[in-house]
Formats: sequence, C-alpha cells, structure tokens
Amino acid sequence: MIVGGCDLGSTTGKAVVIIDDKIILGNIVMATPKPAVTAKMAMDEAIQNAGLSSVKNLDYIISTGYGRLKVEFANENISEISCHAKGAFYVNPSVRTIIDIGGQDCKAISLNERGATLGFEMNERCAAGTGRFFQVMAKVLGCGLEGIGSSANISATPANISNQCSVFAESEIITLVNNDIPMSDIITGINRAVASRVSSLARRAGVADNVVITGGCHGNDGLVTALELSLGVKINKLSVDPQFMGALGAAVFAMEKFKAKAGNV
Amino acid sequence: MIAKNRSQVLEKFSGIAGTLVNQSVEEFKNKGGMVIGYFCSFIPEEIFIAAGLLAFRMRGTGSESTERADEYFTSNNCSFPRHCFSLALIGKYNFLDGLVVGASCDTTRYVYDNWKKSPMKTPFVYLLGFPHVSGEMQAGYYRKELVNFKSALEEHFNVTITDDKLCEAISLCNETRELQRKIYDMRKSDNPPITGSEMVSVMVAGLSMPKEEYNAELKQLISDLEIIPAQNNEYQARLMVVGSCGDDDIMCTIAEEQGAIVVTDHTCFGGKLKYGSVNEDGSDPLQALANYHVLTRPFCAKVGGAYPLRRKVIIEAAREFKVDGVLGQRLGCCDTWGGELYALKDDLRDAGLPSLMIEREYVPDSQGQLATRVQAFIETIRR
Amino acid sequence: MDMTDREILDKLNAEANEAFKALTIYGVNDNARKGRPFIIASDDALPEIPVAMDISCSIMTVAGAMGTAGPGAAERIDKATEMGVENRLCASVKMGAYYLKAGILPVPDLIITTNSPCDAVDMLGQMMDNYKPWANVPKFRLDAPHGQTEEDFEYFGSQLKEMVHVIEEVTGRKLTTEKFIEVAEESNKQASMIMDFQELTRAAPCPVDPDMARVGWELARWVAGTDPSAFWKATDWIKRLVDVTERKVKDRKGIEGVNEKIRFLWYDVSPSWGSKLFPRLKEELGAVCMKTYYSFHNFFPIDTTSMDSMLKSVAKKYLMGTPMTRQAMHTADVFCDDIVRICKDYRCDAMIMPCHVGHRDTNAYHKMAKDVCRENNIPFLFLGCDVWDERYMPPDVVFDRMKTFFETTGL
Repeated sequence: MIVGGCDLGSTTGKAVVIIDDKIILGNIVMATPKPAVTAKMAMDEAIQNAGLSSVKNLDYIISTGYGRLKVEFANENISEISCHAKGAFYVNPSVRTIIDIGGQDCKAISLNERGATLGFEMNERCAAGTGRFFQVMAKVLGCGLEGIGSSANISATPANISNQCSVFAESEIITLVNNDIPMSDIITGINRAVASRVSSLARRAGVADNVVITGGCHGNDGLVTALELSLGVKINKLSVDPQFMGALGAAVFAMEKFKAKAGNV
Repeated sequence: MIAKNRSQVLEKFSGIAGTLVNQSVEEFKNKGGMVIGYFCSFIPEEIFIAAGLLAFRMRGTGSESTERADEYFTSNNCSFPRHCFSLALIGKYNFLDGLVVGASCDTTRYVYDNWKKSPMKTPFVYLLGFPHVSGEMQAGYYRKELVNFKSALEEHFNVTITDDKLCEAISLCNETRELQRKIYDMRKSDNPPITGSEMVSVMVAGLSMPKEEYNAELKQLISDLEIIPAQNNEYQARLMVVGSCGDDDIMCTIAEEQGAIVVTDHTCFGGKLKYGSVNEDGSDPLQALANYHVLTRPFCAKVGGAYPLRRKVIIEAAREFKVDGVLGQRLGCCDTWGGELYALKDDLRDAGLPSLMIEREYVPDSQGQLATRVQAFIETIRR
Repeated sequence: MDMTDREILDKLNAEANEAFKALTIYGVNDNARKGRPFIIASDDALPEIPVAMDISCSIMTVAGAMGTAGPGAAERIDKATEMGVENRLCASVKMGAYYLKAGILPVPDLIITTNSPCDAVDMLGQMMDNYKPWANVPKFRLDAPHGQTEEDFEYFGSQLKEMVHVIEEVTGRKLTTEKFIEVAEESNKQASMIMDFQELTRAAPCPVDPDMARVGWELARWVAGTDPSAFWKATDWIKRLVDVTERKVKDRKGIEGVNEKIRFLWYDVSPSWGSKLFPRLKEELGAVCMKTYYSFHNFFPIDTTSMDSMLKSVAKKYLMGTPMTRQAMHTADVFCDDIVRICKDYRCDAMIMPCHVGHRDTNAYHKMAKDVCRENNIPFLFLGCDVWDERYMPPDVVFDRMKTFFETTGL
C-alpha cells in the first residue's frame, strides 16, 4: 500500500509518502501563487525521494492546508487541524497538545488519549505570534532567522517588547538597537513576546502534557525556551521533522481511508 | 444553492433573500404603498401591517464595504449595522419611507442618531424603547412604548390603526409562525427536505415582502416539500446554528459544503421568529404584542434574566432535531453575544452537545479560514 | 499651625486614596466581612438605598476598573483577555469577568444587575446572574430605559421600589421613610456642594484640579455604598474641598506649579493611566483637564416629599446624573449638548475625544461630536485610545498627539 499526504501552507508546500509503514518526506517547496502548481511540485519531491515514478503509483492521497481544495490529484481533503493532530499522535501517542507556528498563522490543538481533537484555537488575523513576526524582526536586526532561533542568544535579561503589532514592534526594536541594548536581550525579548501571544492561544485550546511544537518555528530554541517558561511545561521533540506533521497526518488519514475502502480493518 | 427540480417557491425566496429590493416590494410601492425599515426582531410587524405599511427588516445584503459608514462609526463597532448604514449612504435604502430602530445593542441604537444626521432623506425615523428584563412591569412598559409608537405612525402616515386591524395582523403573523414551524418540523427527519442554506432564504424572504403573499407561498412550499423527494440523506453531521443576526447563509453554506447539514437554528433572522404565538383573544392587542416579545419570546441576548429560557429552548431544539453539534456565530465587537456564547459553550457541553464558537465579520475577511474551522469541527463530531 | 492650601489638597487626596481601597477586589472581600448584608451590583450608583438600610454594596465594574491599574495590570488584563469572551471588550468589564471566573469574589447575599450603562456591563451582569457558584443567591435585575421623560423616571422608580422589597426580604432590613429622607437630604447637600465646587473651577486660572469633583463624587457614591459611615464622612471631605477652593478663587490662585494656558475637555472616562498623562500636560504645556465623565455633574435633587417621590427622583438622578449612564444610555444629543455647554461654562479651548475602544456608543457617534464641535468652533481631537490598557495607545503617544494638536490649532 502506498499513500500520500500533501500540506499546502501559505508559505510552503510539503508532501509525505508512506510505503507500507515507512515514512518518506519530500523536500519542502516554496509556495507559488497557484496552489495546484505548488501541490504538484511538493508531491513530485516526495515521489522522487520515495523512488517512485508517478503520482499514479499512490493508492490514496489526501490534501490539507490553505490550498487543499485545489489539489487535483487528491482523493479528498481534510482540515489541517485534524491532520496536524493525526500526524503528531501517529509519531508520539502521548502527545496531548500541539502548538503549530506557521509562516502566517498559528494554532493550538488539544487531544485526548485516543488522539481525537478536544479543542482548537487559531489565529490568522495578526502577524504577531507567527513566523512572519520573526522574519520582520530578523531583517531589522540583520541576524537572520538562525540568529533569532539560536540558543546562544538566550538572555536572562530580555528587553520588554510592549508592542503587540509587528509593524509597530519593528520601530520599537530599532529604538532598542539605537539605545545599545545587547542583541541577545532583544532577541530573547522578541521570543518572549511571541511566546506570550502563542501561550495565550494555547491556553484557550487547553494545555496538557505532553506538548509539542510543529511548523517552521520548531527549530527556534529561544522560542521553545520562552514557551516552556510561559506555559510552565516541558516541550517535547518529535522524531519526524515537525514541519511535516500536517502532510504526515494527511498521509496517515490516506492510509486509514484506503484500508477502510479496501475492506481491511 | 437550490438543486434542480426543487420548489419554485424556494427559487423565489432565494432571489428575495439575495437582493435588497425585490419585485414584491416594488409592486407594493407602485400601488402607492409605503415601506418601513426596522431593526430588530422584537419590533412587532403587526403594527406596520395594521397601518397598511410594508415592514422591511434591515439587512446588509449586497454590501461589500463599510467604508462609507466608517465616517460615522469605527472598527470598534459591530459590522452588521455598519454595512446596513453603508448601503443606505450609497442610496440602496432610498426605497424606505420610514425607519424604526429598536433600543437593542449600543451600536444599532445609534444608527437612529446617525441616520437622522445623514444625507438620507427618510421622512420618518423613530427610536422605539425595549425593555431588557422579562417581567410583567416591563411588558407594561413596552405596551406604553407601543402606544406612543402607534400614535406616531398614525400621525405621520395619516392612518388609523384600530384594534380590529391589529387583531387581523396578529392572526396573520401567527399563521406565518405556524407555517414556518411546520417547515422547521420537517427538518427533524433523517432526510430533511430543505437545507439550512435554503431555510435562511425562506426566513429572510418573510421579512421582505407582504405577509399575505408570503403565507400563500409558504403553504405552496410546504406542499412542494411534501411531494418533491428530499435529497439530503448523506451528511456527516447534523448541526444547529446559534447566534446574532443571520440574514445571510454564510455559516450554513460553509457547513453544508463541508458535508454537514444544518437542521435548525436560533438566530435573529431565523428560528427565533417562529417561536410561540401572540394571544388572539382581542381584548388588548398591544398588550398581547408586548407580552409576546417581553414574556413569551425574550430572545434578544440583551434581555437579562431570560438566559435560562434561551438556553432551555436551544438545548431542547438541539435534541428534537437530533443535532450532533452546535455552530455558534457572533460578529466581532459584539459584547452581548460574546457573553451569550461564552455561557452557552459550557452549558452545551454539560448537555453533551459539542460546539464551535466562531467570531466573524459580517462580510468575512476570509471564508477559507471559517471553512477550515468548521471542517475541523465536523471532522471531530461526524457520525 | 494652619495647613497650606497645597497641604490641605494633598491630605484630601491621601484620604481619598485610602478610602478607594474599599473599591478594589480586596476591598470587595473586606466589605463582605463587615457583618452587614452584602450586595454585589454590576453597576452603580444608588448609594442612598444601601446607606439608609445599613447594607454594604460593592460594584463589579469598579472593582474591575481598579484591577486595570497598578503593578501587574498588563498581565492581569492579558489573563482576562484569554478568557476569550470578546477581545475588544472593555478591559474593566473583562477584569470583572475574570474575577468572577477566578472564584475570588465572596458569595453575596443578593446580586443586583442592570443593562446600564452599556452592552459590556449588561453582559457582565448576565454573567453574574449565570455564575454557577452563585446559583442559589437571590438576584434582581433593573431595566434602565433609554428615554428621558417623566414616564421613564417613574418606570425606573417603580423598579427601585420592587428592588427595595427584594432587599428587605433577603436581608431583613427595612427602608424607612424617615431614614431615607435623612440620607436623601445629606445626598442633596453633597451634590449641591459638588456643584459649588464645579462653579468655582470656572474661574481662570482654575484654582484646583477639577478632577477633585470626581474624587468627591466617588467617595460619596461608590465608597459610601460599601460602608454607610463613609457616606457621612464624604460630606465633610467635600466641604473641605469647597472651602479651600473658595479661598483660592478669592486669592486668584491657580493650581500649584501650573502656568495655565490651555483648558480642555476630556469627554470620556478618566483613564487608569491618567497619572502618566495629566500631570505632564499641566506641567509641560499648562494644559488643564476641566472635565471628564466622572468630574462632570448636574444637580438632580432628591424630592423628599414621600417614599415614592424619593424613589422617582433617585431614578432620575441615576438615569440622567450618573456618569457613563448619562452619556451612553440616551440619544447622542445629550453628549453633544454637554460638550457645548461644558466648553462654554468652563471656558474650554478644546475637546479631546478619547473614544475608548470598549465604548460602542461613543465609537458610534464620534462624528456627531466632531460636527457639533465644528459648528461651535471648538477644536476637536479624536484619539481612539483604551482608557484601561495603556499599551493600546501609550500615554507618551497621547501626550505627543495632544501637544501637536494644541500647536496646530494655535493654542
């Protein structure tokens, strides 16, 4: 049995192929203005990595994410909430809270012991609490996203970033730089500010051990540390690249649905 | 969306609900009739009907932007009255011969003041007080308000609103409620003959055309629905929509496109309106109307002390219609419904009913985002 | 040794600040333990009745407002926002809701709520009514009408009569006509003295910070409601304020340290972060705030002819004389007429419209206010700030905007 999952976010496209129980990740592609094109590019990457020749080799494909309705080769589409939950739970059945911080949105999902979604909260209105906020700040500081995420830049005396809006926070950061505030203090302040927004969202969805982060910001050690501080819990790592949880979840759904259709229980 | 071979009445209602001015309104006006716009559902249409006027419930249908209204309001005001006001400023409500604003929420109440100071030349603009407690004294207060309102209408429109005419109007509107209840009851079946989206059109049309005509169409619709085979037996979940406004079918359409079916609702343009009936004993029709809105049907979320009744009605409806989940919707900056849905979420959960509470703008920023949430909710509750 | 005017005013402020502790969440808990029947109300402000019945009454929105100030305010407001009722809900109401949810309020003997003055407080009142830990507490809800006619005052007065019966049943206390008259006459005296104080602040230069009218009013209404003895003390406080103000007017003295150049109307609630704005405006720009909602009062005497006349006139005083209720419950012409009258009577050079983000009412009629100012040649500045959460539009930003506004309008 060969199945696939394709996650079309606003900034990237990702696909996963599962051959029997083996998980193969595709290379991440940057989103194009046409989701159908992005989907094909992402799926081609996964197919290639899986050593397959064509999407026709796949028995069942599920699409998810922002552009999920435009994936022509998908058999059906499922929300990214359900797919993130499915993917993270598949990798680690003790997961109970998923915090996904994407390029332009963030969400928190609460699961029960069976992996079913208990509740979720989403924010797509405001850049604060998303990868976009980091991009803006990294540009201002000239340190790149790696600099924002580096554990070497975690400071015990973070600067206070009071502006919640990324547009106004940019001016605030410039002022801090001009006032010779140490870079690590500013970076830690930025991470704390994002963590504060994200924690607020997470608490509304319900936070329970064990907590994982998915999405592009998972590698930001500073953010993870700030979130642990804010939420008062340890954040655990996933054994599969957290950016692929949506696509993996879609692939796992594909596996389940194909089995059900084929009469295998 | 109306499937082929459906009732022509549904098509007609869909047209009426999808536009502001419809043929029925035009015909009414062409015959010399006058049209009165009004906010909100606790204003008795019966008084307009008894005065020979056409009652037109204010809507934001077709509005795309609040740009014009935002000279008067700000983004800290609910988008529904802003869209209605925007439509008025660009001339879409020029067909009105009068406007009555009920003392409901803060933003809507001040539509009255802004309308009077605006370039709109609506000849009759009236602010009608409404009590925010459900009690005998308050019903008496509302009767007094209705007496004053009746006098103002009589004076301005040079008509006499007799008790007999009021009683006839009450009987007519009670018939409307009964017919609407009949259609709602059909949706209790496992194969509802009408979708939630279609039902919105049915209810909204009723607020935009003469009642006699509407009741005749409802009877035809009931007949059609009894005959035409229903095609709604494949759905993943049965839902109830609860919330403010509801003059559009956005939530129903989104839910039904994701594979659910909306089988009932408790909204200001929908299910609330069919509840109960006005006393027809004829002894004091204005008191009967006041009692209906203040005591029988205190469903405005601003009516304090009546939340237990509203909760009971919602939960009972959810059970009767075999609902799998509740979609709560409110508009941004609505403090009233913020509190109502906050309380409801817990109470629904205690009653074993999952719910998704959504905040949106009247014209949503992105339907895709709403669809994601609704789809995720359906995925968690589906049968 | 005689105190200087400055010392007298400082002492009055110190006494008031001490008394205001009764209005905080801690004060609410203290009030419940004073051995009197204890009421929690969603909104104010009818202290004559609890004072006459020797009952303690705390106000949720006031406790909420107090919670938006002081150390840790931002974190508290954020926690309140996390409840998810409505993000843009007025922060004072959010805080009240948060206190409810946090379970740190004492169980009252009776809950009194109302739809007044706005949707947010109405909603808070409903939350109090539906609050499950208080399910067995008797409740009474008042319906404040939006009209301004005698019929409206009678309607509200009738409800107050019902409310008194409920209080009597629940608490076992009786409202006697004699006691009510005694309290009403004192209340009239206090109100009259506040009017005298307002009159004195019309002098130029303004002799005393007009905000003291708010302080006196809050002592006589809110603090008094929590503790009847505070009601009687408030009369003396107001008298001392009037005396020192009178002296300063006779001596043609202005506010200490202020070279008065501009007088403005801040027609909204006085912000909880006001101490970071108004002193700076006074000291750096010579700009004196002549009126805010809570320092602007009109005289609605209580008619002590009978119990019914007292209840009706208390009703009128509440509907037309209570700040916020006056501005938010009626048609916009009340607000607009007030602007013109205040600017004329208190010689205001400008109207500042804070247009608090949680006030659906002022946000809905700001254009009318702007137009009426234009018609009356009153320079008008719209802010759109949050009177409780200073992060929304920081005091420094507000200062800069006002400074630019004063400069560009030639003040």
